[in-house]
Amino acid sequence: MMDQKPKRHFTVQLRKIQNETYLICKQDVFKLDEIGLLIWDACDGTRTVAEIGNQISARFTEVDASEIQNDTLLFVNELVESGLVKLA
Amino acid sequence: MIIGSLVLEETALLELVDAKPNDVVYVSGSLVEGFGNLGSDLDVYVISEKVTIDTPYFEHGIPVQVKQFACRRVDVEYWTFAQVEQLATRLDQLSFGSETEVATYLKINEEDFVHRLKIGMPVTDRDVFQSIRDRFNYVAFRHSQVNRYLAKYSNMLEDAIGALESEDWESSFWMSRSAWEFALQAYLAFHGETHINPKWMSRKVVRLGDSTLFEKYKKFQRPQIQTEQDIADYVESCLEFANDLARQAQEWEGILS
Repeated sequence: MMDQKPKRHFTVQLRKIQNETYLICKQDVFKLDEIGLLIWDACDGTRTVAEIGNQISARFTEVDASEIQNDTLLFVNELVESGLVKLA
Repeated sequence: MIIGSLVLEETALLELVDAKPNDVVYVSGSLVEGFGNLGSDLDVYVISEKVTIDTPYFEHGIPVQVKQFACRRVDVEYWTFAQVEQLATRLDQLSFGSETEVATYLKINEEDFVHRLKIGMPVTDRDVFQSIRDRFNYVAFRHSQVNRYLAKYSNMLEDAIGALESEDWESSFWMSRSAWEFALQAYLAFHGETHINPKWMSRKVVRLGDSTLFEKYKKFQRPQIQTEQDIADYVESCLEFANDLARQAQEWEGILS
C-alpha cells in the first residue's frame, strides 16, 4: 500500500465550520485534525502513501519518521475503508 | 465622468434624478465595473435623509425610477441614510460560525446595494460618498458571500451524487455543473469578487488572471458529451474541480480578524 497513490473521492466535500474541519460524504461526517488535513490535501492521486509520509515528516521533524510513516499508512487505510479515498 | 466608452455629463445626470442638495448620488452597475456592453443599463443610487419621490416601482421595498439617459435605460434607486446605516450595522453583526446562519445574511437586493456601493463612482461630494463606502465591512461581506455560495455548492453536490447513483444522467450533468459554478462563485468571492452574477462569471474568471482556471472553466462549460459514460466522467471530474475550489475558498486564516 505504501507505493499506491491515494486520491480523494469526488463525492466527499471538505467543510470548515467554527474552526473545525470536517469531511462530509452523504450522511457521514468525519472530523479532521491538523495532520489529518495535511494528509487529506496530499491525497490528490499524484503522491504515494510513502511520499505523503515523507511530506508530513518534513513538517514535523521532532517526531520519528518511521512513526509518521506508520501513522500515515494507518490514516490513509482508514480513509480508504470509509470510502473517502480510493487507491490508484 | 467617463464610464468605459460612455461619457456622462454629471449635471445632466443630476437633473435626471430627484436629488436634494445634501443627497449622495453615485453611478454603478456592470458598466462601471467594466463588464457592460451596448445593451447594459446604468444604475444610479440616491441616498437622502428622506425619500419623497412618487413612483409605482419598488424593488424589495426600495423606490425605483426607470429613466432614459444617453440612449440607455437608467434605474435610479432611492435609499435613506438610515437604511444604509442599518444595512452596515447588520453586516457588522453577521456571524459566520455555521451554515444555518446563511439564512440571516443580507437579502439579494441588499447585497446588490453593498456591491454597487463598493464599485460605485460618486456624482456628488466625493468625501461624503467615501465615508459611506468606508462604513461597510467588506471582509464580512465577502465572507457572507463565500458562505452563501458554499451552502449552495454543498446542497447541489449532494443532489448531483444522488442523481448519478440513480443513473439520472441528465440531472446529474446539470447538477454537477451547477455545483461547480457555485464553488467557483465561492472561490471568486473569496478572492474579492462580490455579488457574482452568472452572466459575468467568465469575465470575472478572466479578471482573476489565472489562465489555468479559465481553461478549466471553458472545459467544464463546453463539454463534449456523447454517451452516458461521458456524463459519468464529466460529473466526476466536475465535482473534483468543485471540491478543490470550495476547499480553497475556506482558507480564511489570516484574513479574518
